[in-house]
Amino acid sequence: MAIERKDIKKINSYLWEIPATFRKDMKVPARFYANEKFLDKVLEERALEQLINTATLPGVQKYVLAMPDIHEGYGFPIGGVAAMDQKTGMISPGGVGYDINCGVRLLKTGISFKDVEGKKHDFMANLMRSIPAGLGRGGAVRVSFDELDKYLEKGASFAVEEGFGFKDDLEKIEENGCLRQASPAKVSDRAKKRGIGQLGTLGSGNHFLELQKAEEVFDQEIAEKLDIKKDEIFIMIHTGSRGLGHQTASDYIEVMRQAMQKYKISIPDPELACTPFNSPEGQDYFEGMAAAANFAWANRQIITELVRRDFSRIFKIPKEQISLIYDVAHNIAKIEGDLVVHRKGATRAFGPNNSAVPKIYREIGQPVIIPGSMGTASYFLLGTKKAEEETFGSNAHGAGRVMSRHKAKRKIQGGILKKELEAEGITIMAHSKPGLAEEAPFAYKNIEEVTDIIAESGISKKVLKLRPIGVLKG
Amino acid sequence: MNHEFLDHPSDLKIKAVGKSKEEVFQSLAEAVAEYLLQEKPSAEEEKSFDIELKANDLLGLLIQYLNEILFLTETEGAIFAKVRFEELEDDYLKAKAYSSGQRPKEQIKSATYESEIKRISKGFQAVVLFDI
Repeated sequence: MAIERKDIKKINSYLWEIPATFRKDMKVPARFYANEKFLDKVLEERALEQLINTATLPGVQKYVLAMPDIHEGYGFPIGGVAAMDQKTGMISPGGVGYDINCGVRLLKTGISFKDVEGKKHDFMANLMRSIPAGLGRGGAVRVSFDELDKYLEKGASFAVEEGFGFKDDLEKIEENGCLRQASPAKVSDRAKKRGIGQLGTLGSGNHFLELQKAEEVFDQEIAEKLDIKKDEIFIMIHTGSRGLGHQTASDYIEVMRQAMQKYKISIPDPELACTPFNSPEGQDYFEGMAAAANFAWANRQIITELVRRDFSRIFKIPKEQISLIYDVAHNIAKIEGDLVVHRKGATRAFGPNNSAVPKIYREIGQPVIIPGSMGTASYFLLGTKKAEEETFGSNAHGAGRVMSRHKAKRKIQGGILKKELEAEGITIMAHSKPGLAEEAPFAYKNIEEVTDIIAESGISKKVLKLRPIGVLKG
Repeated sequence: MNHEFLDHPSDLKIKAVGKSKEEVFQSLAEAVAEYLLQEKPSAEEEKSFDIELKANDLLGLLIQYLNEILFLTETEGAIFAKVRFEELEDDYLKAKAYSSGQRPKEQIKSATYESEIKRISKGFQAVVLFDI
């Protein structure tokens, strides 16, 4: 059923609603954040129909939501948020995605652009050797299956125990880098076999590691509080749970596809396969997904250590000086209060005085890190009380694609794109050149507009704009 | 060529047609190999791996089969463009997949159920959406 302008209700200049009366099977309304310019584009896409489909799931609460970076996914749209009642609601692997706990981590270095300019190329070339894409080849870290289970159970904290990073890092990770519900036994041997050689690897697709400089400070008071200065160098890491997470998602979609008949659940799209959260299958998935999420946090923690080693050696600063700003998941399902919140391509964004926010940020709100597409700016923002009231404490997660990877590759060659970006002062290291073209900036929505929408609607607050000066792409 | 890469805003969509299910399943393995290599796969056959799968329906079988190829690709670090089918029913298959010794340059996370396989007048047609 095509969705037209007349079917949507304007809540305010940035928030729109499709009422639950739009389709008979909807249990709650579907809301999305967009400006007038994005609106027509969103209406054309299948993404909105996918959002409406999520509003049909049993136990869904209040409304389903999409962030301004919404685009077509499978099952849930990317940029989708759905909160389920813990007792009566569903859990769906399609609401998390295949890359469980894909997420972003931002590191602060304390040194300025002028201190890195001369050796930037050297540093990026070193990183490319230290951090493989990990496609079939092994990662930087060799572990046994017993050790892998510990990573699955304890996440980033086990990585710290093994010498990757510092204990202080853990408090600056969502959930301290470990979902305690994780059960390594609920991750299949096949998933473990796929993931065992992939700790400390970046993966391909849109995953990257960037060297960035603070280009614009929006909130001087907060920047001073966090000792952030214009032109300071930051490092952003964007990766997830690699093959281990992909296999875990595939495994449980099969399980749920079978089990749905038993629970007499009917859904409008097979990728929305789900079971009650409290069913054995639902709990198995939740515990397996949590273990895969822990793997992803450990992966980002290990990569952080590899970055610290190269950075401190080349720029001659102590490793301790490279500190975490924050690490957020953007593909995950979590218990928050009485709800099971599914975020698929959305970031948690709690406001001030929330006990889940680490002490150092408690007064100002949780850091929200939104990466732009390759070669474009990224943002550091803060969650707000309004986000907690309006979006189950959620925010956007990126720019959002508007052009297929195939089309992007036809439009520009990887080699040419590399030269163009280098002319803008960005050092590019890519494990795959065609992959580079797929991520061309023109294939994405404008990140400035995405962040303007979430900031102006009050669900987040801008702190810093970061401009890439070096990119390592998987 | 029995497969075609279709446009999709974020992921990889492949259409394959064939006179039989075997042809469609085989074409999809080739298409996956072509995407992972970013070029046509070579015809060499290095090592063989047994595949045996059961499913409730043909779509389930196809998705499980493609995910098996992706599992082998990632765990063996090799490309699997050639598959020989000993049996291929609507709910069961037994086959051998052959690695070519080439290494993947790209990655596919999973085949998804936003896919279909159906009978057409001259055989079968499948459209599969992969998460990359």
